Amino acid sequence: MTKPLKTLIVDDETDAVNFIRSIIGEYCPKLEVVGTAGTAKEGVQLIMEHQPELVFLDVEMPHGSGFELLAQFPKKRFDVVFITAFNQYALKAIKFSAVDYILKPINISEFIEAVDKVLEKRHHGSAQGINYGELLENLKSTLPTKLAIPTAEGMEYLNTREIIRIEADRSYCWFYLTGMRKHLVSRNLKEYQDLLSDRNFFRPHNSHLINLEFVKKYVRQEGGYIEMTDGSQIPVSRIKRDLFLQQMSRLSR
Amino acid sequence: MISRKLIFFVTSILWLTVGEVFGQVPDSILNLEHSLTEKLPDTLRLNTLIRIADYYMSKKSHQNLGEVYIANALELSHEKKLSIPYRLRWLHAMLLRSHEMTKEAAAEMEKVISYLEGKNNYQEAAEARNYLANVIFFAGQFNESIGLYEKNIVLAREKKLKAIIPKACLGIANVYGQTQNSQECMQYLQMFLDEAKRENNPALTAQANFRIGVQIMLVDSNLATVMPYLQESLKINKTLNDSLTILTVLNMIGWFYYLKHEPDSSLHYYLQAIRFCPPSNITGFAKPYGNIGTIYRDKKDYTKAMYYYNLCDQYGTRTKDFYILAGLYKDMSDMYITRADYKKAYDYYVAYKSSNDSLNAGRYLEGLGYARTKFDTEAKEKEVQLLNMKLDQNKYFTYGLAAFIFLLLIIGFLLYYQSRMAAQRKISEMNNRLSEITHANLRQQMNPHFIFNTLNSIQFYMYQHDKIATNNYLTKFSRLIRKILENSQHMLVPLKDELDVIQLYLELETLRFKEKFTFEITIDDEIDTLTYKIPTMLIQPYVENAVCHGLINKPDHGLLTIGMQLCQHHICCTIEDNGIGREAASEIKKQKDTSYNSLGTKITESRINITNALYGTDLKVIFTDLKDNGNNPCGTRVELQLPLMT
Repeated sequence: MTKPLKTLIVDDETDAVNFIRSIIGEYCPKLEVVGTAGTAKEGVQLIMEHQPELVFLDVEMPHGSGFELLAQFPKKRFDVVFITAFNQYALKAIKFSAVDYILKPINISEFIEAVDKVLEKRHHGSAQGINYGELLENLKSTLPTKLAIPTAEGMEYLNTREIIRIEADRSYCWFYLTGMRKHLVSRNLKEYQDLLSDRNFFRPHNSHLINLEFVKKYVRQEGGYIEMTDGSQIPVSRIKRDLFLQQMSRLSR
Repeated sequence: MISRKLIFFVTSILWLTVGEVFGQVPDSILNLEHSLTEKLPDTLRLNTLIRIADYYMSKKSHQNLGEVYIANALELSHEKKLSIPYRLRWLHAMLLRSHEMTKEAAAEMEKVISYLEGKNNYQEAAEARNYLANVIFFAGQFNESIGLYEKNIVLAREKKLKAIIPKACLGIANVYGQTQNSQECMQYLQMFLDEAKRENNPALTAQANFRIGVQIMLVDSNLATVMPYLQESLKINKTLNDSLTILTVLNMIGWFYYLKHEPDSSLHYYLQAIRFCPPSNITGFAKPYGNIGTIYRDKKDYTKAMYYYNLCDQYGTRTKDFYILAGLYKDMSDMYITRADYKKAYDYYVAYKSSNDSLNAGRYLEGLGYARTKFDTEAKEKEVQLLNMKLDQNKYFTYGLAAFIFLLLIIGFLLYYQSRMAAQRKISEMNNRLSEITHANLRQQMNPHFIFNTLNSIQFYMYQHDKIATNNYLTKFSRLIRKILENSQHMLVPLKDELDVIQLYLELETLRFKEKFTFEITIDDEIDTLTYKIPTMLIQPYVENAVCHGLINKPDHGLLTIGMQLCQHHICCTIEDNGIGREAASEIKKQKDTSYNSLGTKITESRINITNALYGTDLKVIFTDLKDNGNNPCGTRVELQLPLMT
């Protein structure tokens, strides 16, 4: 029997704190709640005092957000699971940064899944590749720009302007980047389409998502294809052809 | 040396007049402004500020700048304890009036008048009194205003003052015009003309002729009696060489001919307006070009119409004249409606809306634009208010009234737009339909039975102490509500968002009805559900129908399948149940005598029609009653043909 994980809950709502504590007490025997805090400031104190291994952190708190708390611990040694009441803006930044989160109202099954994920990660002892600094940066700008992609070595942070195109390979994705780099990511293309759609990305074909900034030319022959600046040729499905030309003319305007 | 000075003098005069007309700031003012950067004695600085403010306040488009100089001058005199010159008080009154503080403005003007009379400066005192009467008129004190004007007429006769009597007559006519006493209004306009002629003042004579012409048009719109006055005004203005006024008169004549369905005469005058318009007066071109476009549009000569509309667009855009652009885009949208090009009609309608918004945004910078926009939307409402105010000149209405009087003051010029309302009825119809759609969206967000039954189920699980089930139910329900609230903010949503709603809805229904039915959703891989959009809550009512009428009433286990396939020009969405069929369902519905009236699909049908009209799409719904081998009903299939919208 390994020692239970020292856990801290930081949320400004007492009911939420108590609810999480109850769920942990009932369903997560591998966690031990060592403290709870109602403000970011209190949270900072408790973290220094208890040196927890896992922190449940509310994103939106009235006096100092959860992210500001993290900014105090640049070399943090604990895992974080964010809790958010579905603030669209924060959620987008969280998804962009590929960090763990749960939504309010909390679904118990999802909560248990998130905890299992953390435990598994710690069990494998994989290095915490997550950089909360990037998350902070994503939150500060109106449009998050640092896209986190999980790679073999951990997390890699890409500026969206480095991505030339993304190609689906079954349930995986190939990222083709500037400077002839490429990465394989075990995520669905659709997830990235959702994240990047307001960033001039376009899906000309079922298995291709391209950055319109890197389009070199459009060739009408052979059903039509797009040539990217890196020389790759991307097919355009018949149904997307007009839409593609429309988007390009909007871009060049 | 002398000749050089003379040339300089002449050129500066030329500059001044050109500047006067076209709103370019003359060098003399620029020099004054420049001198402010240097160290000046306090009184000189004060006087300089006043002169600059005076100039800007006389320019409609620069009044905001004028106000800044006035504020500076007031501050300076306050700081250095200088006595406030009467001219500054007067300017202050103008500022107060433009901010609708009529009471304070009137008090300032009274001080100005008593100062000037003390100095025996009767000419300026009379001018100030005319202005005070105008301010009081704005405050809604009609009788007091007329009394002041009349007092001024008597005084001016006594002291043989110039240009006071005609202006007072015009002021009285304005009051009567706004209180709809057209007979008295006409009488005083006639007096205005007589007095202007007697004083040998051509500019005022021309103005009087113009006003009489417009007034006649307002009352009985008889071109034969209107035109001699306008022609006379035009003639005098031509000898005065006042191109801005000539332009106004020509535009008005053109417009009147247009109203009277004499497009050729109208065209003639608009073309003249363009010829008379100096090249530097960019705004001056936009209006006649736009109207020529409309004349050709009415003649169904769309090529020429487009040519002139484009010219109007160019000139209007260059000066950012949103007032003209809004009118233009409305006209163009209208044109596309008659040509059944709804896509373009909609585009221009959107452009009209955004120009109108820009107009609103700039309203504090340009009082006139404010008034015009307000007029468009509130004229009717305000008319009722005016009637009330005539009954009791209630002070609480002062603010609203001040704004309203300002609106009506320019009604002569606005006649142009008022009469266009009829042509624009079609656009407003479209507007109504839009709001209808929004309302329909709100109304049918969800069947209340569903909401309360769901809450009831949650309560049941709670009572059973089944924490996981309660929690699962509650979180799903909250996500569904959130999703619907989000989606209802948009007319169109990505297919994915609508599918999320359906998925959550069906998950909840299967939880609620246990083993009653199962569902399958299959989406063709080729369909990009993030890119393609559909009207919000379009599919869900059909799904709800299938569950509530087809499957729930079925004695044994049911199956609901939802599928989406990519077809030639649309996405084909099928909702198929193996329930009891439509006929049996409606039979049951009759017996049940339910108080809840299912509006869902009915509203959806009307929304489909509106969507098609608005986007030029061909969204279609096909119902099929499914029969088994023995020809017994065995379910319903609904097929929705969704156009590819983005």
